[in-house]
Amino acid sequence: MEIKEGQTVLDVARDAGIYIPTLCTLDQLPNFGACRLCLVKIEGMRGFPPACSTPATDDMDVITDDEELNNLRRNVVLLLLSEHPNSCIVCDDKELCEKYRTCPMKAGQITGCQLCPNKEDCDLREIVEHLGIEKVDYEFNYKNLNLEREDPFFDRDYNLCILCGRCVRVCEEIREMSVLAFTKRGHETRIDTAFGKSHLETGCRFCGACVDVCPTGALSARGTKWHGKLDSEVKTVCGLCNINCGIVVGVKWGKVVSTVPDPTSYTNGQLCVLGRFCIAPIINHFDRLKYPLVRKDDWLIPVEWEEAIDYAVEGLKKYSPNDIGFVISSDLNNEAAFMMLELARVLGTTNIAVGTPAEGSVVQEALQGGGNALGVTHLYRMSDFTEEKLMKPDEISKLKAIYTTQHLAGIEEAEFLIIQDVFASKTSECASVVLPALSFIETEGSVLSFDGTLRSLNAAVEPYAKARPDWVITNDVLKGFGNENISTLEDVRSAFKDELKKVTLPEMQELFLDGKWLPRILKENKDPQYSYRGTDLTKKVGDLRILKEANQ
Amino acid sequence: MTEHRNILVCRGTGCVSSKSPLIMEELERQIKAAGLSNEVGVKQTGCHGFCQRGPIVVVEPEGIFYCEVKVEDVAEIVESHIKNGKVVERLLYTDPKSNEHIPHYRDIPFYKNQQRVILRNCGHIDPENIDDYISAGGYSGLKKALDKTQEGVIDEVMKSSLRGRGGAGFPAGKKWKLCRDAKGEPKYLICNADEGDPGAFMDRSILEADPHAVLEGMIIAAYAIGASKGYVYVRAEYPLAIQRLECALQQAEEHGFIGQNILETGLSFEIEIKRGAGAFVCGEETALMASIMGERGMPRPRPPFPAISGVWGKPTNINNVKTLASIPVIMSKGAEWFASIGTEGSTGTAVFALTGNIANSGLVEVPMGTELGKIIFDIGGGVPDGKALKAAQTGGPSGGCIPAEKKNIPVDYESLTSAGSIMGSGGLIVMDEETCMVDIAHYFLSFTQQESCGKCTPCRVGTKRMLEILEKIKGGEGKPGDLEKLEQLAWTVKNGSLCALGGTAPNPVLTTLRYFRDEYLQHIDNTRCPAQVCKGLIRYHINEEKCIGCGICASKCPVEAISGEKKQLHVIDEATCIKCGICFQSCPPKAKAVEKIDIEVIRAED
Amino acid sequence: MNEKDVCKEVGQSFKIVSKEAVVPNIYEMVIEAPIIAEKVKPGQFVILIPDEMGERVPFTVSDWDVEKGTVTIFFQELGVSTMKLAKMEVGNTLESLVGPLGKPAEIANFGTVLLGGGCYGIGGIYPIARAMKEAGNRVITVVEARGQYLLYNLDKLKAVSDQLFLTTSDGSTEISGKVHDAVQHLLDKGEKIDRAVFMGCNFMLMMSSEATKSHGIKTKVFLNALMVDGTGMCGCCRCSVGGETKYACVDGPEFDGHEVDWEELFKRSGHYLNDEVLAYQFFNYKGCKQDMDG
Ligand SMILES: Cc1cc2nc3c(=O)[nH]c(=O)nc-3n(C[C@H](O)[C@H](O)[C@H](O)COP(=O)(O)O)c2cc1C
Ligand code: SF4
Ligand code: SF4
Ligand code: FES
Ligand code: FES
Repeated sequence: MEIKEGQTVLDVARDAGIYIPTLCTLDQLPNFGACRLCLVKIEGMRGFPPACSTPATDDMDVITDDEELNNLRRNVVLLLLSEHPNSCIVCDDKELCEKYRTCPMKAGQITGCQLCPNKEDCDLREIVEHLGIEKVDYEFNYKNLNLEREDPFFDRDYNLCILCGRCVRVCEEIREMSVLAFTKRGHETRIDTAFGKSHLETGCRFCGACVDVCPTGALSARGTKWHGKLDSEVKTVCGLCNINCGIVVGVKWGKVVSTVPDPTSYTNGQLCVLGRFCIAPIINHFDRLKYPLVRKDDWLIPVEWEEAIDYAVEGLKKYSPNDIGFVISSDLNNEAAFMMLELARVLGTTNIAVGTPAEGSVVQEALQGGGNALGVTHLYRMSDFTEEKLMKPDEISKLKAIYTTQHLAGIEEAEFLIIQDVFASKTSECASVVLPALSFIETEGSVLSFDGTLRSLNAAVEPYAKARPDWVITNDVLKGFGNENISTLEDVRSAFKDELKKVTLPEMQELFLDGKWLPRILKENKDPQYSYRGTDLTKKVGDLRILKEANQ
Repeated sequence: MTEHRNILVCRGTGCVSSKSPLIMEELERQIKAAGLSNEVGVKQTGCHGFCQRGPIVVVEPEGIFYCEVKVEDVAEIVESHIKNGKVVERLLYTDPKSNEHIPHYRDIPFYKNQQRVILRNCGHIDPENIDDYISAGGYSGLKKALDKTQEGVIDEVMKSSLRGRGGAGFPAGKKWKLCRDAKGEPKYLICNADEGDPGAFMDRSILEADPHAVLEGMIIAAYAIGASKGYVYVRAEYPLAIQRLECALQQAEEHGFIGQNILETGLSFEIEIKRGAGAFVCGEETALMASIMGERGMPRPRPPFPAISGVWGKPTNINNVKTLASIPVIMSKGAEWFASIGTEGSTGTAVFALTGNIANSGLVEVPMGTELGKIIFDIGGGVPDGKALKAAQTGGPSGGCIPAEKKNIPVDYESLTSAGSIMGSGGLIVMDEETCMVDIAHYFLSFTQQESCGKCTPCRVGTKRMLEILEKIKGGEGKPGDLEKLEQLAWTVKNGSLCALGGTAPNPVLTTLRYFRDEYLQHIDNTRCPAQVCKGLIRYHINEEKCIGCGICASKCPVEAISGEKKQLHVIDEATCIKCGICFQSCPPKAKAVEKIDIEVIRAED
Repeated sequence: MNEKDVCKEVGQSFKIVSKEAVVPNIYEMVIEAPIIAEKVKPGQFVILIPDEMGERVPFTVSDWDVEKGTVTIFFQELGVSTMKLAKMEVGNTLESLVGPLGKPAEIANFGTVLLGGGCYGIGGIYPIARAMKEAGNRVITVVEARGQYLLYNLDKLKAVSDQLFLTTSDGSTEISGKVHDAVQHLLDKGEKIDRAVFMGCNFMLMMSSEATKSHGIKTKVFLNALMVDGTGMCGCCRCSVGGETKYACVDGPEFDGHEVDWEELFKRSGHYLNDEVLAYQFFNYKGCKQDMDG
């Protein structure tokens, strides 16, 4: 077996496809040696050294599996089970029960796997099965600790905690926050915040890293935990800020039911509160724009797409190019932004505003600008427009006709207002035409992340109601002006792709040397702006508002 | 009055708490008043190790040993002994066996049978006076060491075969060498003075009585290893030790033994005192280092060993107080001399805190390999009140119980280990025939259970499950198979735990199971506690014939469970009784009416 | 049941007199509702709305006190509504409480009656047991839970049962398994049972009914699980019993356990699940629905 510098016995075993049960180690975290399941025998060493933290050497003779080791591991797991609800594990009706109760039951306090949100993804259950445990010889000791659910976003039920310490380590070592700690001693040892405060009081950023590493159901995302087995998982990137962290979207019943970090992404499996907890409630929010609407007799009336597009085209035709302005949201993907610029070019206007203009350092731009701020800026530069001409929102609002892709205060007074957006807003209420667009979760496309890399967006779910991708809508309007060059996403993309690929930002390089850059950025600069296409996300996600208020 | 005399007043923690400072003040005042200040010096010392008989006052050079001295006795000592040369007999030590007074320190059996190497200066020098230490030969070892090369020093320690006195007995020289050879700068040296075992006070006494010996040992070690910074990790509950240590540090610095360019050799070494919060587990080296770095005192897996990666990730050598205090003598008297004491595998001496059911409790130091019985009977004076020895626990709460029939076992690392116990850091608890071994196992285990850091599963949960079984057995609810379950658990905890706290926690259970299995079975099969200790298995009863109706028991009972008119028979209401046993102890000896009776446990049907 | 028989107690405040987590995740709640307390019969239920945004949730009345004017319910926290309920405090008032609803349990002297309860049913079975006992039956009660620490209400049940058996999935009590295992166990021992009544989750009802079927024991089950409206209007609680469509809230909740189409029932239970699960996304941590301004 080949051994790389710094590898532990566990690393080598895993590389060689040898299974050793573990509960407390996790790739990105420092070794801990607490669970005592990875114990092995090594010739020349006393006792049973833990594979997870024993450095491997070339001449080592290791036994990873024999009766004695299994016995030891079984005993250790039994000890864990003596305090972790285990009745479902040993229940005779397991199979029938699983058949008839296919979904967990949303219980407040978890007293069995059938009630546990973590059921599909439980390290402990996996190990119990591996070791073939069918009976727990101990009287069960329920710790009967209070549920901790007075915080936004996640619940904590330490009755399920096995004290693997992953949450403590991820918070301290990766997120550099140290919100969680071991407290008390002996059998009474617990995980808690300092002085038993709520997470809100400790300054917790609710990044959810602890929830993601917890091998049990002790820590769980309140809003997105009860879905049970997912129908599918789709990898894409988050479009709420320009870091564009990799996410895995959990899909069930055709809906987004969860978002968790993509461990293979360049952000090292880390997210912020928005990406981890807010995407699902935003996307599924009932306040989404569902149908195209046009204003008739002062009322906004649902119409077919063709009618809405015609209405928009005819409306725009009434104005001279100088009277028309465009608001390009920096949350638009490249394809959508390109189409908007194309439309402006065809109409012959340079009246363009970028929704949330990027200002400040690259990092701040990434966090404070939109989900594709860099892409939008670059596309703008690429077209024939020069940056000095970029309009400020208040200049745009003086124009007679406006085509906006986001909510923007001050433009409601325009004579003719087209809004192409995801959410209903003050702007959409005043609009002449409302064109419902799909969010970044439901569309294909690409973004130019703040590190200068082009990343693709994948559609995780089917289009919402009648909404359509932004680029398709704008293209339809463009067609109304006789411009029929573009018909596929590839057509759009080929127009700029190579240009954007060329973007390299050497100053970014240094940032990525170690895996902790994202948590550090978030720690220093606070979270990304809580907005999407001009909509204040704290108005959409109650827990986010609570967090914001607590931070003020 | 001819020669110059010194009156030594013990100001160790034990004697201080029995008012020795007042005695010292009074002595000074009276000597001065008598105009004897030039002829007679009054000087404080650290602990003599016989605190049980404190406050202790020694008059030198004769070596007259006064014990249990009170302030009121000072006048007589000055008048009779100092002025008139007449020893105050009633303050002398009385041998409990012969009932004779023993005037001289050296003749008292408690001391006669000891060999004091580590405790060499304890009780003889003023711990707050570096000159006293130097005139007793102090810092000569350092000078000798500095004349050698660093390798030379390590060689000498290796030749002495000195093993760590902190518990594990790892050869000190080997550890030093590992650290010296390790890559990384700076290197650290830690003196482990956490001493968390209940009842142990060896390290505290040394720091209080002879702090310079520890400092000297540290400086020598630092030189050998190449360490530039040292920590003494001492529990905050030892204020006197900390104070003496601080004082000694300052004096040593003033004398150029510590600091920059030590004794003009170019060697630099500084020492910082770290106060520990008093968790037992913080004595474990990796937990201790975490604590020094400001983290929660939780052990971590080794390797990497501290010698490779210790505090702040740098090579670190960590030794016990006694290990370090042995170094200066090894340097000054030579490795061969040291190795000649004790056995081949365990050289030098062992220091014990002798407690429990023993006539003379205190600090004792004997050559390694001394028979256990010799310590208990010759030095300790045996079990008091004519009771028989049942067992002795070495190694503190994580050690093991050695039964009376094994009293000839030599006390050294190998023999204790083979008996299922450990040397540990030196607790030695003697138990008489009225001790219940199940109760004892439970007692020790509940200590380690509470002190577990809670990190690893076997120790955190396994010890709890073991305790629960022991509680059931004690309460008469033991079941067949419980002992096998206990053994299985003990095996898991011992082999599965992360650090030695868990690794040794089952020892008391395992050894009592090994030597006293029958006693366990009595509890389980006959629901009987042979020693009549386990509360769940006995009840208290007042013998109708013996009760004299004095009412003492009734007045002392904390829950008012006893009723009865004066001069009439008293009766215990068993429903109220909490079985504290106070009545049993307080019933006057002439009546001895309160009896312990085994109770019939009515078992739930299976 | 007619609408007029249902006491809406308009203008009444439904104050929570006591609330206690009797075992993890199961709460006992005593609510002020004098009119209901006066009218309610064993096996009947109430429908409760926790707060102004809440859904309607049915709960079996497990005890009542006419003098104090209170009713007692046991509930398991299993969703948004019960979560809100669990977070309510003594002294708070419920948005609404309607009842008694459903037909009372059939009580008569049958001989030996076997009562089985699980989850909330351990609480809900109590008045039936009491009434059966009063009617002169020999009452055998079996209660199930995952583990001993999840059993509650035992003292009360013991007082009205001739025999009380505890069964647990983890084997921490005398009988290991579920109610149906205990039924099997009793029948194997030759116990003669004239009637069986079960209350608990549908899975338990199904399994227990199966156990009594081969012995020809008349078996009643309480289908309380799925209800919204409680007056037969919404159709949520529709089920097939003996080939006929029934509405649990008005035709039941007591049905013949051997006639219920369980497969269909289980299929239907899945229906509302996605909405319920998604609902969690829109509650903030205080258990309130988010306010929705755009
Ligand atoms: C739970 C536990 C507590 C310990 N407490 C102490 C202590 O109080 N003092 C001490 O010197 N060593 C203690 N040790 C031993 C140390 O880990 C370490 O072995 C010792 O400091 C090494 O010094 P030595 O080589 O001089 O013996 C303890 C070990 C364990 C496992
Ligand atoms: S809460 Fe989860 S991650 Fe944290 S220690 Fe407990 S089991 Fe491990
Ligand atoms: S044992 Fe204690 S409680 Fe009982 S009667 Fe004696 S003194 Fe009172
Ligand atoms: S994985 Fe090694 S101890 Fe937990
Ligand atoms: S303190 Fe005085 S002898 Fe110990």
